[in-house]
Amino acid sequence: MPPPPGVFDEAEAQSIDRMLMCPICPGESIDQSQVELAKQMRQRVREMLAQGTTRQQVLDFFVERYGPTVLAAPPKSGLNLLAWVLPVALVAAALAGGFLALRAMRRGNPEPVLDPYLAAVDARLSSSNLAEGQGRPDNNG
Amino acid sequence: MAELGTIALWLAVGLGVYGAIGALGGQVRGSPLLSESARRAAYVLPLVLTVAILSLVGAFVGRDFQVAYVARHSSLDMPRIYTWVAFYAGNEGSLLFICLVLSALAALALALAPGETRRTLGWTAAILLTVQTFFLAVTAVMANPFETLPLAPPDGEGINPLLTHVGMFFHPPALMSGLVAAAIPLAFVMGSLIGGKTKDEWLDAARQWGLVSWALLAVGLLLGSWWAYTILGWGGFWFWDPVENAALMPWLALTAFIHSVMVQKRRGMFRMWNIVLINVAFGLALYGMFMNRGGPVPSVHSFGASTLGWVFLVFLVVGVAVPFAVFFCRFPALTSSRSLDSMLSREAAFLVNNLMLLGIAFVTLWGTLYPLLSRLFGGQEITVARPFYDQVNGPLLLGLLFVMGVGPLLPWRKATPQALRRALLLPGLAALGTVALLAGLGMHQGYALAGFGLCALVSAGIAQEWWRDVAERQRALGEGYLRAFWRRTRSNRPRYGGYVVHLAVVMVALGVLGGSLFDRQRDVLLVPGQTAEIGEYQIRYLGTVEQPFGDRTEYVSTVVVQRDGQPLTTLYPWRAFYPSQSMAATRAAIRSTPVEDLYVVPSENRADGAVVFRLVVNPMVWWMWTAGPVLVLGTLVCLWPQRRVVAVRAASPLTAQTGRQSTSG
Amino acid sequence: MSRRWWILLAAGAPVLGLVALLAWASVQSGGRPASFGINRQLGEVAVEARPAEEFILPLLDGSSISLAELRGNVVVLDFWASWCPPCQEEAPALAKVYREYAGREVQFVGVDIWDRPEDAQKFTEKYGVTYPSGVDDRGRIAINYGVKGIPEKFFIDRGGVLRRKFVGPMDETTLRRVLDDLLAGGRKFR
Repeated sequence: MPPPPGVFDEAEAQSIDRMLMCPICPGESIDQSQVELAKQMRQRVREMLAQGTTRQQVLDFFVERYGPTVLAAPPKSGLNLLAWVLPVALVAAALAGGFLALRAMRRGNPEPVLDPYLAAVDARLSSSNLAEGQGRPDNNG
Repeated sequence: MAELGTIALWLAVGLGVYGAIGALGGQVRGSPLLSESARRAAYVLPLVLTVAILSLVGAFVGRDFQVAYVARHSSLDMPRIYTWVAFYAGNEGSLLFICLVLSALAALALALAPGETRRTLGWTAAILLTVQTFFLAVTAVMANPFETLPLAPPDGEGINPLLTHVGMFFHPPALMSGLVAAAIPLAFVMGSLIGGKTKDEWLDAARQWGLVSWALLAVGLLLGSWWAYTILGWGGFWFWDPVENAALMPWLALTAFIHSVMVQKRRGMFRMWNIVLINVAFGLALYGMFMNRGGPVPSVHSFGASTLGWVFLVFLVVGVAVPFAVFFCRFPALTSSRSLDSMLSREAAFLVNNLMLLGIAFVTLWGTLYPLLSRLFGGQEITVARPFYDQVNGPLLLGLLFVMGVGPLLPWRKATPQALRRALLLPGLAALGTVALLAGLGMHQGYALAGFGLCALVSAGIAQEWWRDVAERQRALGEGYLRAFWRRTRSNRPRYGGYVVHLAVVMVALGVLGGSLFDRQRDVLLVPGQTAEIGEYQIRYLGTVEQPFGDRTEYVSTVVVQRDGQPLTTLYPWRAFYPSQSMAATRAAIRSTPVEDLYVVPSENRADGAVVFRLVVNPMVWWMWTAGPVLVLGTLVCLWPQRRVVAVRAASPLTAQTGRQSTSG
Repeated sequence: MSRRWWILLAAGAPVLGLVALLAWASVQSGGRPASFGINRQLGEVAVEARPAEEFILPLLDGSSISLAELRGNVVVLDFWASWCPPCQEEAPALAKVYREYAGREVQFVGVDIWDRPEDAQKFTEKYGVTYPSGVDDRGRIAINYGVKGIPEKFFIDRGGVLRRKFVGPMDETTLRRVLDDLLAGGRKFR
């Protein structure tokens, strides 16, 4: 579909395309879908941008008509903020938990370099990589 | 033909039931004869199922439209080569295919089971055969591909045109195989646990079969992206569709598993964690199958309306609850033998890697479930699609890339400051140098700079380690470099295979970064003779030829490409219309180079010969598809059987001090 | 509680929740994967009563029609396409009811979307459609009304207020009932 005359940022238009789901195709944004409605919506996005409509106004226009389902991602406000915050918080908590668990494991073993033999091996290993070179498969991995 | 298939299918159900009960009985009552008989049932199953499959293939090839499945998924004018695709275009055929794959892999796994698992192999066999019986029974009772119509229609309905693509030849089978193959490592772990073997007995078998399942999923995912790239006609390759996600999540969990299981192998740690991981991976695989077969989330992949969803939901519950119950009962016996020496060690890095992988899997799961949650609690369904995943998983994927770069450089147990410097200095400099260079060249997107910097970190790290190992050997033994490289690589296949796979991941990362951050796209309407520009390319549209085929009309456009005025190539993108299904399919013409892809696809053919083209320039996507073979190669290196080495531990420092030093080898 | 039980709880609760959620969603969708908005609910769909969006539709006969000039009439805005089976199914009923209400303050407008003009022309001839029909070439009207599928019908009262929306084919009886109701001032509605 040829873009209508008028000045607008095609990159911005495409980024809006990716934020809008095609209302009649399962799981595809209007950027992806090749059905007629998606093409018409893409064209409408460009027309609106050419008239000076802002990104948010364009999105609101479509939400008003097709409902919030038309947005490709939950809005970052209200209850839907949870959609964004919860996974990030949980991943952060998991990493923190992992860190604590590791530290606890280390506490259980208070003396990391506990004996002269291993210390000597460590020293040798850090000075050269020789011990790895002799085709001993369980040496490293 | 159909009768033969039905007979074979029911025979397989019988064999599955017999095998499962026999394996259980043989194990419980300690009857080797019964166990052996059950195992043989498992060996015969793939043969019987091959007969069933062949009879369905025969029906397709022979255009036997009396068979309902054949009538629904093929037609007279379908080229016979697409039988292979039509075969699993619907629930029935794809389930039969799953049965065959699972039975073949299970038979192989049982036959090749390592010695440590032999004493509990009856449990393992019983689990595998139970899973097989489930699939067989569902196929036979609820989705029988051999069901016949009272009257054979003159012609079938034809194959879904979107499926007539080379990518489709291997993408669905690879994914389906990968998903069911996750049952095998689980069966080994569970078999050992039920049988009271709570140490590392299952380790080798689970690692190997985990790798197999992992690689199948990886290949399936890559092929699926490739298919989407060439056929869906929007210029992208991944859009976090619920079913794509459903295949990605078990892959992530398996990735965590095959890494963390190495820690158990080397250091005897993380045993409990690994059991949890394989349970999670299997659970996610079941979730994926459920989503695919009537899950409640819209997707371009769903097999359509079916009551199968319920059956798979029940299977999901059982498949998660039973292994977890076993884990719970054996919990007290599952202790790891060693604890951590230092936070700066490969063990710690592996744990971080695990958490990030599971984090990505969780975000993805959350994203697929949020629409349902919002419908349940908010009354209004909220869509979660690509922008969400890009924003939340993007940073996590970068973090993962970082861990992938640093982790393999850290020594086991504990990194001394010198060792750390020695390991990280060059790769770190390579990463910083890359970032500086790219920034100097005018790249200013933070994501891109970080991504490319991390790619450099990973690659430089691998090159450095490999080179040091080879140089060491060369120096120590005076071998030529090539010979040293060969010998050194052979001596520790899991390690170097892993490096190769990591390189493949870097290649995929390059493709993703280039294709999603630097893509340029235009939709243009061209009349014959007109030229459009994208980037430094001039696209001149010459005209469209209409080619009628039996089932479709193809509109093949001719497009001449010039770069900076120099003729480059001629492309023939096409669009086909299938009147019987009132459906259009496109095939993009892609000029692919390691630098960038030029992607041209007709998205609308006007009656007057004018065509709306979508023109896309996708930098570096080529690397992503090339990564596939590299990834397979790396996995094969990892899996290639290695001379088994019995490790003997130095009994205590005392013996070492008295000079009796034990070595492994 | 021992560590073991805590683990059971921590793992079991989310899994149970997940399964319950999936089961609920499966019940909702009737084991059928829903697709975004399309045909999930057939029949009447609740709409907010608000002034209907103005439109100018170029008609198949070359003239054009606008909502403004229809003020004072109950307007049935029907979105359809020639290739759509439910539209074909209901076309005779629409044509018939329209003729029945001729002379009363009722106007039907057929908006053909996602279609070719020549097919639209053939369709109106085949089913004897006498009310004004036109092709919404660039989907302006369809997007303004938030059309998600065809057929969709919007009922606009004499004051130009959007009153009711129906998705999917309508039968004669329902159509008459809705029209009578709106002609009577929409008392049964709100």
